[in-house]
Amino acid sequence: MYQLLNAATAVVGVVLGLVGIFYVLHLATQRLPPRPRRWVQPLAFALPALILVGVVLVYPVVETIRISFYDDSSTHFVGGANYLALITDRTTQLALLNNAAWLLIVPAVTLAIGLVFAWLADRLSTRGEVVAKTIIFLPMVISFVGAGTIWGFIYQYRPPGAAQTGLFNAILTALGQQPVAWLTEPPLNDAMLMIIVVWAQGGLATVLLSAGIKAVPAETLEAARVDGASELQIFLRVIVPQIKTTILMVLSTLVIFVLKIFDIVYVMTNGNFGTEVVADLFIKQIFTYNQYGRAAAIVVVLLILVTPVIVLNIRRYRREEELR
Amino acid sequence: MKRRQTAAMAALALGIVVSLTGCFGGAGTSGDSSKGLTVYSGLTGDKGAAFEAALKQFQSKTGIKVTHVGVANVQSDLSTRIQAGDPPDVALFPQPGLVRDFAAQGKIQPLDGVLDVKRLKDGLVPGLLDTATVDGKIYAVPYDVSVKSLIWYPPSQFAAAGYKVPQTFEDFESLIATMKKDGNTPLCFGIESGTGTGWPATDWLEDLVLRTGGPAVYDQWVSHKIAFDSPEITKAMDVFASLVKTDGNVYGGAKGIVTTKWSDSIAPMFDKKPGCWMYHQGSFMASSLPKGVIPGKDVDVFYLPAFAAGGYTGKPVEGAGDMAAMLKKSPEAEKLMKFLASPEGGEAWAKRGGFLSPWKSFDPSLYVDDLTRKEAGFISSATAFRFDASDSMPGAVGTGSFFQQMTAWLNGDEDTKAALDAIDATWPKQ
Repeated sequence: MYQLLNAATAVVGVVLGLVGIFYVLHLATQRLPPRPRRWVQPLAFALPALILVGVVLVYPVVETIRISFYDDSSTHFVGGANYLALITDRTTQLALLNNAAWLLIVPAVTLAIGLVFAWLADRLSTRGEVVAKTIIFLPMVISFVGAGTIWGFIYQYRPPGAAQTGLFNAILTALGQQPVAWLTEPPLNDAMLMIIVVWAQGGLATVLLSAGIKAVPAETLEAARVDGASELQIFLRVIVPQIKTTILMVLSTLVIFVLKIFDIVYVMTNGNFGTEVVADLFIKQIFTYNQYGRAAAIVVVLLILVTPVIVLNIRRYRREEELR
Repeated sequence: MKRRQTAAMAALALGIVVSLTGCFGGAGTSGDSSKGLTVYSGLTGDKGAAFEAALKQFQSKTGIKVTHVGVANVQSDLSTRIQAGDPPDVALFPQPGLVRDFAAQGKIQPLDGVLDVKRLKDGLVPGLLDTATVDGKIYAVPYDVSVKSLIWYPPSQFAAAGYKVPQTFEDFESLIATMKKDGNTPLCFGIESGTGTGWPATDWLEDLVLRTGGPAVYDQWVSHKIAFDSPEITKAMDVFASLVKTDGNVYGGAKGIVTTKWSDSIAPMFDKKPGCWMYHQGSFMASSLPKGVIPGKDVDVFYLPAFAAGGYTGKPVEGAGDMAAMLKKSPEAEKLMKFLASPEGGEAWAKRGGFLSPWKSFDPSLYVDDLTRKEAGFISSATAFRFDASDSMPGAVGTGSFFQQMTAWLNGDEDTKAALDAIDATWPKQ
């Protein structure tokens, strides 16, 4: 009861407080003469946001970069030692390689599946489309830890001869095959982990792309049909070019997501059996090894890797704004 | 107009104040801690309640009020409180390494003037006190312990098959050979444990290092004076490989080992015809047995014996435990330390089960069952008790590369030298 009351007060209070801050700022700048007001007022209104961004974004980034050059207790400057240790560490090399594999495979496969599904769903009856899209979107609402647990049951391995409780191995043994240890045999296990992410993210790609396909003007499709184009040609040459921006958006979201892939690996293999990824390594460095310097260095590396994607995204966004 | 603005501003200021108190009012305020003692430990749930029963006994005897705070991550919690200058009066440390760290920083009170050192040295299982001794001064005393040098086995099936509990490590090896000849799979083994996957393998290896190299080698290994990639540790790894990497020795083979949860791997032992016959696991296995299995009847333990020749010939025991240390000196805290550093300190807990005393003179009749009494016997007859090595190593090794490399090694991804080298490479250089 007390917590409920507290939460209610917080919600109301924060909203009131925020409105209040802006109102006060407005009143304060109102009293200024018109000339300075013209540039002070926008600045004053941006101030709370600037402070917030500064405190929760800029400061932590700067501090992380600083810590990455210090020792584990963050008191002694060690130069590039943390970065050097990371480069020479076999596990880090493996993690970087795995992240590269994730980056090359998962966004492409997810996008392809999303596109095909969106296209096919678009051709169903309204009812069928809703059902199909709901089914493919459903995994989206499951947390990755939950998904990991569910897929853990599907991939479960028990020695030959014992009752197979995992779905895949139960099917295999029923067909007279040997059970497979899906999660401990590289590189098979990497692929098995990627399937889960494709399964979970495919729905989002489908829904977004489907919205894009719906926005394609029907006249262009009809014109193509009149000209005698096959359905596949229509899809590849008429629909895809027109939803290019949606495709790029989905792709960049997936790329950023995959770069920081963590939960699935953490839950299913904990980075063992050659499945280590950068984000999982970071969690280990900071929470189980207490090596803050190296953990920070990993984050900086990850930040550098994500930056080009973000820059591209912002550029594209700006271009679209200009077109409007 | 002006007045209305002022009123509005006042209302808003009130709103802001309310919102701030709404945000921060939830943080609970701690109660008055000036009265009585505070004890920190990593004991929660049943264990925490059992420890509190023991503390209650102290309270009714002395009239000193004791508040117990059991936290899941006692290491980081204690570190924070000690660094902040607000330590509890007394704490149970789950690792002696931590005691030594804080003792070196002068954060723990030496106990030499407080406790009867001779009584401790004579009465405790050898090896325990040394782990918390820095520069000749004692900083902590063991309060409760657990044993890891145990082999769990099905007694009635053992008798029916004519197998005898081995008295030497050589016997143990020939028993494995006999079982295989009979068409049985001798060992159960599973190391899957979520983010801790690999720890049962480190326990096995540590027990073997104690047997091939002995306590002196073990101590040097823990402090990295002996590297992983040394002849001593390689020798223990070779013995380990001959036990668990030989075809037909372990139920499920390599794939079974790395994919089976540590607590599930004992399950085949209770099939009509045991799928595997022996499982190396700590005394805490008793609380994770499959449903319906009665400890002492369906499953029993024997001590993993030492080599008759060619190794350490004493009776080494690997285990874990809680070390009681005094962080704030006061007459009351000293009384509590005296209580915790005595056989009587554990009596109330022993009666509730799940407790093993580090005292040789502890009355075995106080234990709840024969299995516990047997385990207590292994401890009291030990010539050397050593704490889990991985617990005492730096986190990057003890909870990191050691686990991971043993897992990779068992999965067949790496040979012995590569695995040991990889662990050495992660040992912090500072």
